[in-house]
Amino acid sequence: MRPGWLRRTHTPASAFVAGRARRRTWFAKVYDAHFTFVWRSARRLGTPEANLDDVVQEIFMVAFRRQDEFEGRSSVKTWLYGIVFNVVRAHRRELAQKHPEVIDGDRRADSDRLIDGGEGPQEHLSKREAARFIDRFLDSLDEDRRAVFVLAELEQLTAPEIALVVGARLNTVYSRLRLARVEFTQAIERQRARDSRRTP
Amino acid sequence: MSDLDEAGRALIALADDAHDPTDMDRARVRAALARRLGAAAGLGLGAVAGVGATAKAAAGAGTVASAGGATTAAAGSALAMKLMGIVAITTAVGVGAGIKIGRRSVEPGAAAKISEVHTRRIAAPLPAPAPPPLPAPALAPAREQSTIEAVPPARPIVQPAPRHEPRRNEASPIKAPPHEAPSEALPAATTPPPALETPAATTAASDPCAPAQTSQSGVAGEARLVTDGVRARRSGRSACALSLLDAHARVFPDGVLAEERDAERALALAALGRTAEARTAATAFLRKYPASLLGARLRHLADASR
Repeated sequence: MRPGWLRRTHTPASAFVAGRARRRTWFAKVYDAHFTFVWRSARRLGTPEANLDDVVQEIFMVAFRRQDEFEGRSSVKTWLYGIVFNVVRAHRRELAQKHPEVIDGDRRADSDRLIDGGEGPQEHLSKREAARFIDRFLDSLDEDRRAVFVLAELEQLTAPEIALVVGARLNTVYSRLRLARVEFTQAIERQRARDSRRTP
Repeated sequence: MSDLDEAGRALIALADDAHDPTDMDRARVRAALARRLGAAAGLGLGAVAGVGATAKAAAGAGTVASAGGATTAAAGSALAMKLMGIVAITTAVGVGAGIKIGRRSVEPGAAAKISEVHTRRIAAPLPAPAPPPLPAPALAPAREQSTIEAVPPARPIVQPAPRHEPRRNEASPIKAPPHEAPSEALPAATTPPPALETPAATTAASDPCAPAQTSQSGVAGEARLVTDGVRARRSGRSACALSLLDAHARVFPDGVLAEERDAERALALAALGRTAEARTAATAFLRKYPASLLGARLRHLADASR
């Protein structure tokens, strides 16, 4: 069952019907312009691959219902990030309740074994290996740090934007980011150490 | 505000587009979304909104179908027409759910059938006491056999088969342009108000698990069975869904909606835990309709336990 805020609609039926044509255009545009980052962020924020279709649909469903809330308060992108963040978080919570092994498995992911098949030094990392490294690293972070790290380092949002998206204070955002960066650097160091052991 | 070291930044740059969707992802989600939005918008907003949103579904389905097939514009519009016809009928019985049609062509008789049924419906006399509006699907009183209570909610949260790398390669040049639904759909949509329902239609719809007794034939009968089946499955009444879809298979083995039925049947079997049968059904579906839009969900099923 979806949480209540996903089901709520803020639009009276009459306005909904009247604005239908305009809405369709606006919504189709938003979909086309922003599908890529919505999909990408949903993945990066920790939606299991198998559930990605459902979660991305859910995000756009919410966006569709909440268009009236948008009204230029922020950029469409920031607004959508907020929805992505909330939907993914709700999904992960639901998942953690029903299938704890999926989410806990994430957190236990051992950053020391980030690249199992990795053979060369870091300069020779393939795109794929890099993606794997990032994936595993993100899975090893706690949820809050993960979100901030993804939004700052991967999506290039500013700290004030992130504060808006995740609904935290600016200082909190900075501190989470700092900690996540430390973990990232450590993960890379460990990887380097492993690589140098392997290739003397 | 990044103060990562160079190695970190290089790593992130290297993985930059690793999480991007393929065009397939985009088109698949678009079609599914259009279908779902149709259902959601129809909920509690009456026939007009339901049909309006389903027109969107037609647009979405049309987009993808035309991208995959040779009969571009013709298929799109024929598809939309087919959908409109069915939708006009199904909305009249209170079903707002959009049906996604993955077919490329419409049988020559189908359009005629649609208009025939349509005319008949509108010409039908008003039933003396107007029946109360049908409840939303999820709230419908579950009148079904006791076995159904044991059935868990249908939607699997975790689907085991991860689909990772290969998708990038299977991307076909589907570009999903903003597709406007034909505006002629709107007046047509409002034509059959719920009050025009025949009494037979009402009884059949209020007991979604009693299939095929209604002598209704043609597209309307087909649409009712399949749509009720879809609704039943989505609300977790998978056994009910299966019996409706099986009824459709008996009455309309080669019906206009045979593709949707076969796909839904596989999903219903899976939801019932009849995994082997679900896999067989999904495999058969993929063989029979290799280009179907509905294939994406079934592929998981077919691959699930390999």
